[in-house]
Amino acid sequence: MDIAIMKLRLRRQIGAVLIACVLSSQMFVAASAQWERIDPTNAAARSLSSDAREAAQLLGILPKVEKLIALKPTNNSGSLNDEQMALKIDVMDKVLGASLEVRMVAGRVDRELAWSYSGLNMLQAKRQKKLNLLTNLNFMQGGTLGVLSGPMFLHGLPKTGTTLLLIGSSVGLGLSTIALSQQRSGTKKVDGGTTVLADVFQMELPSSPAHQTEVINGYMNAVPPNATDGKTRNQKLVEGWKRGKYLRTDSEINLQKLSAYVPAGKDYRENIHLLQNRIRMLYDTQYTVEMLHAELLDLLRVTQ
Amino acid sequence: MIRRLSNILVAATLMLAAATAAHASAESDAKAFRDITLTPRSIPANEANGELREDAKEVAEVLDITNLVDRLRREKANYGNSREIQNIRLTCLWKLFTASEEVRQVVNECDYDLAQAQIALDGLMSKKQMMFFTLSTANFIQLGTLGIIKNVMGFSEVYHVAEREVAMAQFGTSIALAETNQLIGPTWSRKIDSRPTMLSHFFYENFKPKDNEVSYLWKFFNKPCPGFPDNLTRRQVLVRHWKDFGGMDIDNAKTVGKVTANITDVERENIKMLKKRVALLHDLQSHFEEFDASLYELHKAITN
Repeated sequence: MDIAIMKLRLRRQIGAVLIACVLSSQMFVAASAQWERIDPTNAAARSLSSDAREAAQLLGILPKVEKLIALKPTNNSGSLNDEQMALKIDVMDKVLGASLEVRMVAGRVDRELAWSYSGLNMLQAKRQKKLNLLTNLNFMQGGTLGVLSGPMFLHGLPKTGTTLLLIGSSVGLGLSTIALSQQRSGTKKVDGGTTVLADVFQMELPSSPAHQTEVINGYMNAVPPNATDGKTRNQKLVEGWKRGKYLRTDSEINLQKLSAYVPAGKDYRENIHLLQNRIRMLYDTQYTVEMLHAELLDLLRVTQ
Repeated sequence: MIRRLSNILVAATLMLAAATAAHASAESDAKAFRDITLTPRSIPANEANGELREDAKEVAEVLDITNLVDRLRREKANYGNSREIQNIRLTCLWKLFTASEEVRQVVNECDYDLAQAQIALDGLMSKKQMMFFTLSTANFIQLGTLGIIKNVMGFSEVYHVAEREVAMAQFGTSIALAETNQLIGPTWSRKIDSRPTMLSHFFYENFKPKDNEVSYLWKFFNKPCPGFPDNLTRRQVLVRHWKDFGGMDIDNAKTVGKVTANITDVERENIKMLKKRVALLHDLQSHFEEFDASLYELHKAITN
């Protein structure tokens, strides 16, 4: 009896050990698969993604990046030889430069946004103030003429009383019409300097910009990796604005107004609608420019 | 008599001309601070001679790497793999990166202050707008209610006087409500519950950021700004700019306290002050970001 129980226990133990072995081997396989995914020395993980490749091409360092990737597996000690060190610094140098360029352009857009918001808020506040004033004025004039007409009726002058009420109604109608027309009013002189939108619209400007932005220009005029329509980032932006009705016409004057570019001898004014459209376009442009950060990050990861 | 009169006229004309000239000069002086850039302008002739751009030169001084930058520019054509050059490059890149991070830090602080101000402003604006609509609606309701009562009375000759009295009460109430609406609008305010904003560092000499002594960015802002009179530092130029650009009364401690959210001076903020704070913070943020452009130009000068 005892032997039978012992055999049963032994079988159970062997079974448990076998199950544990199978489970642990499965876990090992899973863990090693995971390790393969995150191991930076793995060749697949270290191959250039399309984004990283585009960034390397824009920065003119694709050969260096490829060389750095090729050199890495030959040295497992962790220390860098002079060549690797120089290559890494070259890559870091260019990535930092591009990152600063993105920050600079994003900063410029921030400034243009601040100007646009400042103008928009001013126009909207002015409009709201006018509308509130017109509404209150309407109540006040109606009330005053109404109060004045009361005694006329009481003192046997119904014609005068009615005339006053008639005037009140007419003025009320006039003020309401003015209020309606004010809802679409309000303009200001275009100021604050030409915005980054002039570059998106590919406008010819008389003076060169204060800072040359070759990488950003190249990035914005390039077709994104894996794009099927063959359109550049700038073209895609313009297309999106047309689809969203932010850009209703391609006329030169409209593009100049949106870019806040005033040619010599002209005097442009901007309204709330135009400022709202410009703000939307500036945000879109800033977002697109800042997407270069993601490509730079990809490049840094693949060369780390 | 005629001579006297003509003398008086001539004297008056001269005085008027002098006053106009003084006013015009004061106005043009004020306008000089309206739209400003805090970085020195590029001088193409010097750059054509191989000199460093003015803005890059100044940043190299601020980062204390002028000698290293000169050395790198001499050897820019071929950096090679020399450890010494790589060390110099690393030092320069390190400092550029540190300065860039400092910009990120203060921009983040500005973003936080802007978010706080926008939330407070939205709260006050919606309260103001709600009050306007409530009072306007109340006005329509009372006009409608009393109008119905009045017109019902009109069916009977007995209530002729009462009808007119009701009408007068109706119009009187309308005036009162409209006037209340007009007066109550600008009075909305709230307790300041945010920390002193980044603007405090500019309006209060003794309110210094904690990294004032070590930060390259603050060093840059404490330096005289090229192109402005009286050796004014960038901080001082910005304060003058806000006086002209934002209509800021810099001599009024209460106004400065409200705009900077410095609760040691005042305890409540209103819509006008919050709007001003938002405008100035946006402006400050964009001026902080100007530093990015100088960093970018310096980097461009040392990269190969």
